[in-house]
Amino acid sequence: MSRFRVGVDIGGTFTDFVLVDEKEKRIHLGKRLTTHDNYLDAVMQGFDELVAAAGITAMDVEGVVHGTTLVTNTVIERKGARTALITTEGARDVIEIGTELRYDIYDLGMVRVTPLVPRHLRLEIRGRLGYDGRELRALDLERMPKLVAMMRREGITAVAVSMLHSYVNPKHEIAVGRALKRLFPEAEVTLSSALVPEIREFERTSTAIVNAYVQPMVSKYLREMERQLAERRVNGPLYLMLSGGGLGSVDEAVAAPVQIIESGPAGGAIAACFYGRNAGVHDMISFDMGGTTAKMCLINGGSPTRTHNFEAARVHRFKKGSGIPLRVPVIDMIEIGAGGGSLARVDAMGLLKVGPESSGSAPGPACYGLGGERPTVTDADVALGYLDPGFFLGGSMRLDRAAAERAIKTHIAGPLGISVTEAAAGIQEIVNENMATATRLYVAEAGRDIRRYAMLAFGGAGPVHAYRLAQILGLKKLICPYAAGTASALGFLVAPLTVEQVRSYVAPLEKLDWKRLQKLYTDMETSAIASLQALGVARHEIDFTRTVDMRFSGQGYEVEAPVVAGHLDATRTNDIRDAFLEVYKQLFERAPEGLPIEGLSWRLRATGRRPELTLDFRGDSVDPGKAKKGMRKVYFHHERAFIDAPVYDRYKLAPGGVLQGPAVFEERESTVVVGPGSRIEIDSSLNLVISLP
Amino acid sequence: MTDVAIDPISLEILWGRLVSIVDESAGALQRTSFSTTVRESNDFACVLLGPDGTTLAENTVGVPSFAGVMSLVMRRVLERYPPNTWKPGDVGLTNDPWINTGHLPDTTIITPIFHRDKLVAFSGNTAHKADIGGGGYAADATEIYVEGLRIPICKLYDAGRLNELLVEIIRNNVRVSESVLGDLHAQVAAGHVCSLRVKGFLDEQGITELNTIGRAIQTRAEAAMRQAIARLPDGVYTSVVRSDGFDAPTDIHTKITVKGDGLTLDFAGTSPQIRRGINSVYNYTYAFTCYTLKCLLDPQTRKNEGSYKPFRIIVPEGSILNARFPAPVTARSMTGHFVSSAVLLALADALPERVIADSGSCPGLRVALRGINAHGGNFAQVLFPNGGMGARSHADGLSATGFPTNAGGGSVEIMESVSPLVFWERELKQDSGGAGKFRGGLGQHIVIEAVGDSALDASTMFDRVDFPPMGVHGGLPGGRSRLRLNGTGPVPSKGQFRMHKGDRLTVDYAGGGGYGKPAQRDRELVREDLRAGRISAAAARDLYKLKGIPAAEKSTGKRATKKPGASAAARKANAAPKARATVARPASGRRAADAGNLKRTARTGAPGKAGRS
Repeated sequence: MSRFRVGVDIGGTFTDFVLVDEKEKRIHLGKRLTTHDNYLDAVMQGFDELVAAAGITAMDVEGVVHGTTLVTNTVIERKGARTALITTEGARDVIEIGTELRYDIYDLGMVRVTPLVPRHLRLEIRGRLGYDGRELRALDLERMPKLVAMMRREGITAVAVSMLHSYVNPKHEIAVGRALKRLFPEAEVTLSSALVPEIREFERTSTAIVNAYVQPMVSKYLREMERQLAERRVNGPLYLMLSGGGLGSVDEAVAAPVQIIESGPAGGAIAACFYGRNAGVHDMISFDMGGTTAKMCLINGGSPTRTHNFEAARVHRFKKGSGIPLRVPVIDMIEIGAGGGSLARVDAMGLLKVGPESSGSAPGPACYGLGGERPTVTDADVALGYLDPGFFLGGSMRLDRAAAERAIKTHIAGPLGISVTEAAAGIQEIVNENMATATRLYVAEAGRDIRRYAMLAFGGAGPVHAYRLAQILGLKKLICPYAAGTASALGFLVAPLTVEQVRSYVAPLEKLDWKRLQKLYTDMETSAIASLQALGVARHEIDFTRTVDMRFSGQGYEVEAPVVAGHLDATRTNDIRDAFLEVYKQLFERAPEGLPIEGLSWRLRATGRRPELTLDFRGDSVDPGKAKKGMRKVYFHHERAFIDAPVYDRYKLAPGGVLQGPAVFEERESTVVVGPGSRIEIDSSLNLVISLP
Repeated sequence: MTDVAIDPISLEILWGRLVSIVDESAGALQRTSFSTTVRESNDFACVLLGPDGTTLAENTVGVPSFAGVMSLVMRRVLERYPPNTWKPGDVGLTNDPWINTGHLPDTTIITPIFHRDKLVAFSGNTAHKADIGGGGYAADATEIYVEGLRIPICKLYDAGRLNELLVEIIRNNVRVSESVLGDLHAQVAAGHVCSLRVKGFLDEQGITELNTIGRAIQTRAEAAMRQAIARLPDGVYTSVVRSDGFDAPTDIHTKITVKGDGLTLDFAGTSPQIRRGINSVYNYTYAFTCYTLKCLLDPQTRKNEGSYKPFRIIVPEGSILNARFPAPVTARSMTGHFVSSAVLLALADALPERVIADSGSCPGLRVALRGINAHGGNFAQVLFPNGGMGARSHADGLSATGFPTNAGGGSVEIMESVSPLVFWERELKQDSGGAGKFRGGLGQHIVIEAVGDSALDASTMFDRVDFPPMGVHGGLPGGRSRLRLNGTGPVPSKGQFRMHKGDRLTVDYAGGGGYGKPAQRDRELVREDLRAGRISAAAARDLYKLKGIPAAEKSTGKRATKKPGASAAARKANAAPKARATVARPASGRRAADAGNLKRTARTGAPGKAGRS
């Protein structure tokens, strides 16, 4: 086992660093402002600082795991490569026609996301395959030289190739790819059939285009990072955090950069699982609330829920359907327009609304005193005693309580004819309810009973709101991990190497060609083993998970169900059907009987061993008596009153301590607020484990 | 608890909770349904109603055609079964078009919700079924009896006991009985979910009834709408909208009278009902009227029936918008969707910033196909691609987008996998967006070949073949719809025909109307459209008056748009904007005299009607 490993997470505002010393079981944390002009500036400076702070040299570091918002930002800011699409004749408008649905049916002014490839750069090639892969019309590459000349004129540097039914037979795409290699060798090419061989041309083509669009930039960036690490003689490989929660090599990330689009949030979810394991909790809802959004992730049996649908670059961040759809393995999360900066207002019906509009970091909440005049959630938090105006970000920023109360009075309390406290309580209560409502629906859609879950809270505003949120949801246990400010980067260091594969084969279960299916899995497994072995994973350490997207024939909605391990033949029909029916019933309580079932996309997930990590924080602590900093009045919703609560310094709490709510725990990046009647234990990992009354 | 006792903060929280309960029930229904219209077109709705039938909460992404209708349905249900006759375990059912949402495929399930032995609410949900027997999904029936099975208000479950005779009657009368009955069960299950969650909600909140919340919601929704109406100048606003109709065009006459904070909308003068299945019923007309007014006047606040209370909607009985029994109604959207055009065009002068031009996707243009698939089973596929939406005051119209409905065309790869069809072309249609300062959204051009050994039954529900979607404030009309078989043969736009192996059906979906004068369009946008092939060189030169395009030039701008596979006929059809320019008139205004323009449209624009069955 390597002793020193480093995780680096580039976020929108900060680049976070975690250095783990596996021998001493300690972690060192670092933070720098993200350098948007050149991300590597902050990355390498922060790396050097952290290594120096830990008293080691770069040569002692035996592995670096990286996650970045580079892909997401490139798409949002439209700064990717000039990209062309080559597609089947008659299909060039697939990405512009999209689903044809309006994501907001009452907004006549609705705007759609602009395709990354403009229409005149979507080029058609004659040649057509049928749904079963048979050739209906031969491929005609005669136009290729002309198209390449045109692409050169247009300054194209990346090409996506996506042709109809290529998921079942890639031969046309492969032929186009070869022709491009010959005629247009300087361009980077993405074949949809190699990247995401899945049925549904809109999603597959969009995914291939995003991949092509970000590839030149990601490739340059990662190779440069590799070079700079090598220059420092770092003694181990660079890995990337993949959106699905596993690690991949630089080669893999360069070939399929779309896979790292959600690396940061994936790290957060993996970190939540890690914290949960430390606290002995395996079924939980991770709750990460920051300045603009709250993210929830459902964790069952210590693993996050996964999906293969993601939307990039939404026109309206919280409106489903307003972005570019991607078919890529991601950890399933919901994002809610609820954060510290969420703005409160009174709507045309005279009702109080909070979010999803946010004040952002500038001008920010009124209490920041940076020119923000409208009240936000943070303003309510200050007015209700949840945040200490003198100890925000560990005291590095002073908050103006009077300004917060003034904003609440002017915009909410005045118009509604209520007191500032009532208005502030209303703002908190509504943002909490919004999060609770979205969480309930999210858990219900997964067919789960929310009451059996614990909540794990992190992010700047997460621990501030978690207690009340858990109370509204009827949860009994809340965990606030220690040093969760750099959760994503820590998550990177506890994720396993992973390869995910998929093949489409649409057929009714009763009429499956089992030999074909077995071959699909043999091919996927062989290729996954080769990839993982190349990264140093031993064959016996590799775990396989097979799943399939199935549905009742005629249904438009698929359910991902497990597929039995081992050889696949007709004797497995019942196993596969039963597994599907079980998942279906879990989701929908009952399943129709006697209907045929069909499979669409067959998936394989191969993972290496998960790095075990034990951390020991005991050295930092002293006894709880000295941890108490004082008392302050905090408003509690259940009691509908301000109540005196002791305030503790989170860094001075010792393991094994037991306290009673109400209580406030302050740390640099957040504040944990716990209500009356609750019991708080400080466990051996310095987590606050809170039992709600 | 009295109305005043519910403060705005508590009400926001309680209402939000009720909506989330209904959303959860809607999610369960949508995900377990078999009907494509439910799954992909959101053609369903879930509503929570008080014991007196007033609505408390509607699901967030419900479809416009059901907006506010559930309380009308519930009123009739309560006449048949008064509140004191409901027992726990009862489930009500009906698909009667005059009671329900206007055609037989829509079934409504009503579940009473009891809390501590007291009836506290009803859960109602409506969903479109894949089949309901009779002549299938077609526009050409002559009376309701031909259109399928009509189920009066009845109990599907009586105190928990399934009405097995009714189930057998349904099973014996519909084509795809497993899927239809499966969907019916999904609706029952969704009602059950709603019921469980409402009981949980009442326990948790420690309350015993929902009427108080219901009244508070309705009062506030109504007040917000009244405020919005009050901002409109008092006056009378009219429009006349003409659609292809069946054998003869249909005219919809609309008169909106705004006075203070009230709005009366009268459809007097609208064409009478006909003996073909494009008649709308009152409930459906009401729904699209309310939906369009809500979009225009108060789109931001959460939807609730209370918003519609300030509207007085008068629909003459016996008109094609309020047909009497036993009129055929299956393709009611062919007329009912036009209500939305009528409202928009009437208010074009009153709300110039907010209205949009007429949409090519209004009405939703459908081709239904059925036959035998590659695995030997039955298939039934409705094609849902859309025309273009009308241009806005500040932006081009959305191409290939449903309005006023919200259905989507789906994946070609999926459709080819489940039905013996090959889609040789599916693309945006050049020059189909009405020219204007802001261009109408483009319609689509689709070429489908039948590739199965056995012939297919095709049924069309099309409009905009004779009369294109209109522009506003100087914008030109969008391109018309068009249907052809094997390149030349015309196809009935509302009828049925067979497709044999090798037959190719070409379908053009109408584009949206333009907004403002084309000559005022930003030159850079005109050049961009030309480069992208959204408009032809001829349109750039003749309609947009773009300089620098030689009169004889025919191929510029086609470099990027010309496809080797497009037929010469298709290209020729694309080059027709000049002809359309002569028929362009803004078709809205306060004066009904504007209807004269429509007559001109009719004279110059109507192609032959040969081939109509």
